[in-house]
Amino acid sequence: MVNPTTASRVSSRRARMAGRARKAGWMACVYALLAAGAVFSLLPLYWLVRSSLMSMAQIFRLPPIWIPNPPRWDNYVKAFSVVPFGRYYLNSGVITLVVVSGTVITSSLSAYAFARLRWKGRDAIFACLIASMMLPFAVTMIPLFVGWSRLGFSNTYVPLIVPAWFGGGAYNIFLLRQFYMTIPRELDESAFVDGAGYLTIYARILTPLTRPALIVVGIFAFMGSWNDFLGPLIYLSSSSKYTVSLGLRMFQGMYNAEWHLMMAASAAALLPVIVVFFIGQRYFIEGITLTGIKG
Amino acid sequence: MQAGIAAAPKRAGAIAAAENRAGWLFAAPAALGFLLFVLGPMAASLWYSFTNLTISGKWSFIGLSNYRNMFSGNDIYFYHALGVTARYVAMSVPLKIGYAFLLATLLNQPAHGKSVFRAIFYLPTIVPGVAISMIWMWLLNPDLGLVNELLRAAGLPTSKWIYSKDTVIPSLSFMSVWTTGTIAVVFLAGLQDIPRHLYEATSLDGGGAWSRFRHVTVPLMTPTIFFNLCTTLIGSFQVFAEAYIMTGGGPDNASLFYVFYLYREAFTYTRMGSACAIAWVLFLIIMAVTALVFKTSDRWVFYEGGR
Amino acid sequence: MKRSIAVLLALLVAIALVPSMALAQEQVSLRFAYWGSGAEKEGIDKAVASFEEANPGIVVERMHIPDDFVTKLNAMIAANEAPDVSYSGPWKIQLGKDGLIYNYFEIAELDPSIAADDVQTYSWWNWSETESAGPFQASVTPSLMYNADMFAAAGVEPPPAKAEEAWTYDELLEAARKLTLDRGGNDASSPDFDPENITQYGIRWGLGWNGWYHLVLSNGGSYLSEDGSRFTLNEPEAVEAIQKVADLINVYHVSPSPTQASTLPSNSVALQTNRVAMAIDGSWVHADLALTEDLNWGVGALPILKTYESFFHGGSLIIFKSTSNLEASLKLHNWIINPANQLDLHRGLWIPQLNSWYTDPEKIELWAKEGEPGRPVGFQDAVMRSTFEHNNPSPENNVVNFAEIDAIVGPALDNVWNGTMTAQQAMDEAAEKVAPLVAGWTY
Repeated sequence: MVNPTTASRVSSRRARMAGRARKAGWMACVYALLAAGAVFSLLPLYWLVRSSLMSMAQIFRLPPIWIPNPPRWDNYVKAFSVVPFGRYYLNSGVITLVVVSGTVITSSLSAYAFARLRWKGRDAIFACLIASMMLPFAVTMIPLFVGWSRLGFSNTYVPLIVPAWFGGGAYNIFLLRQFYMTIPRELDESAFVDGAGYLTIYARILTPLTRPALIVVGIFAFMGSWNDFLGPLIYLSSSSKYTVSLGLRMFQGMYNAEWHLMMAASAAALLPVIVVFFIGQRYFIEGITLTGIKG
Repeated sequence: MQAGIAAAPKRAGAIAAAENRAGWLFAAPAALGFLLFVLGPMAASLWYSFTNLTISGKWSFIGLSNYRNMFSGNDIYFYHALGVTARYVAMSVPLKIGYAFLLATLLNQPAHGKSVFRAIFYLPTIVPGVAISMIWMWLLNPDLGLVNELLRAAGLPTSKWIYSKDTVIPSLSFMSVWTTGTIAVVFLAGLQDIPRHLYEATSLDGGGAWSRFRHVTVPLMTPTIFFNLCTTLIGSFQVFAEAYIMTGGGPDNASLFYVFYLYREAFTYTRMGSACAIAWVLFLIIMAVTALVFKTSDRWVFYEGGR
Repeated sequence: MKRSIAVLLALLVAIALVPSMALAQEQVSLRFAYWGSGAEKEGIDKAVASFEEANPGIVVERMHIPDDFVTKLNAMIAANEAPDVSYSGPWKIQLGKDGLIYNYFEIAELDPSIAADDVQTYSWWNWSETESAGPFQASVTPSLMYNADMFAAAGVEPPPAKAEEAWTYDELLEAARKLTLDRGGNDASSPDFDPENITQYGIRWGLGWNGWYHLVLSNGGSYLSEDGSRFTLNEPEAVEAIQKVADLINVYHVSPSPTQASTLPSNSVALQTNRVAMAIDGSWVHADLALTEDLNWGVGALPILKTYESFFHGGSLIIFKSTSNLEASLKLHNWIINPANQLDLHRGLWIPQLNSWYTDPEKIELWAKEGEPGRPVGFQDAVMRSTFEHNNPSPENNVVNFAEIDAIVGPALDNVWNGTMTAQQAMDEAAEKVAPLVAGWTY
């Protein structure tokens, strides 16, 4: 005689085991797909680095060699000597630095006003800013170009950096505003009662609390400015003022089939963003998350 | 007593006035920026589009000529560029959104090393556009590129990718999937926001994984899908650098994207007025497409707690 | 802290003063925009330096713009910062019509150092009968270059230098087949030849207009009809010539397609590394070849279909009306376009645009002496005489609206080189699109 309770226990254990097996199968599937996705993301980058360390003869060999042996660091030296990439790094660095500071400072000031202060026209202006995110850059590109040119700022960095000091873009203001909203209002209200001014509240209370969000905005501004292509393309004409992106493009024009050198130059252009990415990775995934859900 | 009552609103009024002043002051950079870099240029652009402004600064008012020139087909590139761009949008947007959704779903599973995978999936997104173009030109090279080499090793047919008129747009669409990290992260955030108890409820009803996905995940994700759809659409209509660097718009103008066409009109042929008209048409098209998405959203976007 | 601020201020003041001090010396300063990589940049830099030396009162700011030249120039024009003197392409015609550059005919007499009647007839960039953007700053011409060692290795006689003995297309094809090798070492005439795995090409033919147009001329074809009223690249003579170039790629597999060419380095490197045995490209490549080590190169007469035909082409130096000093600008212009001042450039990159430099033996000796690094044996026959004696106007400065028309013809030909269309189909399609742009010949 089989005890009915034992029977049901056995069957439920069997069900649980089947469930576990199914779960293990599912997880194996998940890992396999994750790995496939990772290969898709990383392989092109690996190929970039691999190709940048080979001689022209090696790079053209079929079937392809996977690991450069010996690695030719020489390519980097060559790439940097035929085109003044050092200069372009400096140019991009200066532009990026000014853009990042302008964006962080002015977007946080504005976001504070939109999140915390009551003033006439606030909601209307905020709506305008949000709507402007939908505007294609192509619409304003030409008048801005004409305007900057008439003012004599063509072939200078002014058109590339000044807009960053005027709010730093609706997206950043929006992101910071969302972040400010999550901070309890009591904090600044009690400071206000204690006699603190708005600037003090912004600088002493909100800024320290929103550091992660400011870092996010800073990183976005960094990426946007460092990777910008169209702006420098339109505004910069002398090659001594080129940014890294433009320099890379110029390099392509001059050495269009010397792939080993082109890959070395590309890898070098990529290095700063990779470094910033790994330093700030945690922050900016948070940042995207923040705008994404609320959007 | 009376004085006190009168003073309180007065003080409140003074505070409100101060706050009003402070608000304007703090928001001044953004407000000015909007005026100087968005609204002003928009108005100027609209005005220019009715003129034949060239680079030398000479112009006269020509009414709707620029627009007529485009729509009448006098300008042989307008419809062509529009068609090329539409094809790209139609291919790349679903691919990007679908792949990003898949990645996000995977990242939402209880797997080890998720943050590492998340970083890896995001990594391509930060690569400078020019470098992305260079990398893919090399990968897609028909003779020596890795992609064809892998296909050959697997015994599959190879392709000319960006070097053939028929495959250039699919190739660029495929390439755009590589940089879909931002969309995936937004999806992931949406997935993590779905309350656990909803899943548990479906489990109790005897629903399997598929039914949980179908009846809980998808409906609750529709607002996020909607958001991503809108932003990706707007972005895809404005694709430029890839074609500019990789194909120069070729072969035979097969990748002459709309913004490339506009860029050429403005900066190579220096017809600024006409380029502004081209830009405004793009704006209207984007608005129309977005409005269409908004309009259909009633039918498929599900807002928690109803509307 | 305070001191550093003071230092900073002093620095700023100094920076602000430098330009004004420069002005105080009453020097004329010119801005000169040009393109070109490597050898060309170096050559121009030297030419400008020698100009400054010869004209102590003039300082020239050199603006090297390696790519998207016209875009960058347009940006400067828009900003009222156009250079004084600039290189230019076919788009200069529009600048002329817009009144942005000087009419050379009007200013030429200010500096008579270039005798206008010495300038070759077809070297003028005119936007009307009385208005010109100047003569070629120097000429270039399509040239057949080859790696002599590869010919020796394959046991093939290299192309003849004299125009009268020029290879026919079929002779060229035969040589090219023997010089095209697959991975297994089979040449293109072998039945085992594998066109999917070519390691060495017999010939790379330039696929821009300046690569194929001489063959069109050779076959009796032309860009426009004689009266200039019709586009005629879709007529049998032109179509046949264009198709023959495409056939080298798609039928005979002796020449790389645009796709395959994307893995080939520039012609000088490709010849040096045995990737191609012959190249038809602009004569400016001679300058790169001159600098290429371990390369035994030569030049041959261009291949023909019916008669030997070639042409000179080139840009001109335009002078902007916004220049602060016309006289100095014209001086720079004439300095650069005078071969006597630019002998180094004319020994590789350029060839002269003045008739006397082709007829006066003393002058020939100055630029075309054979045995110099950029002037191999056979150069005087293959490049100098064959072009000079069989010269035609170049469509670039002879076809009105060439820039716009070529923007349609060039992409249409992509389909022919790719093998997806015949030359007839592509040119018929193009003919329809260019019809509204056709507005006759300049000459």
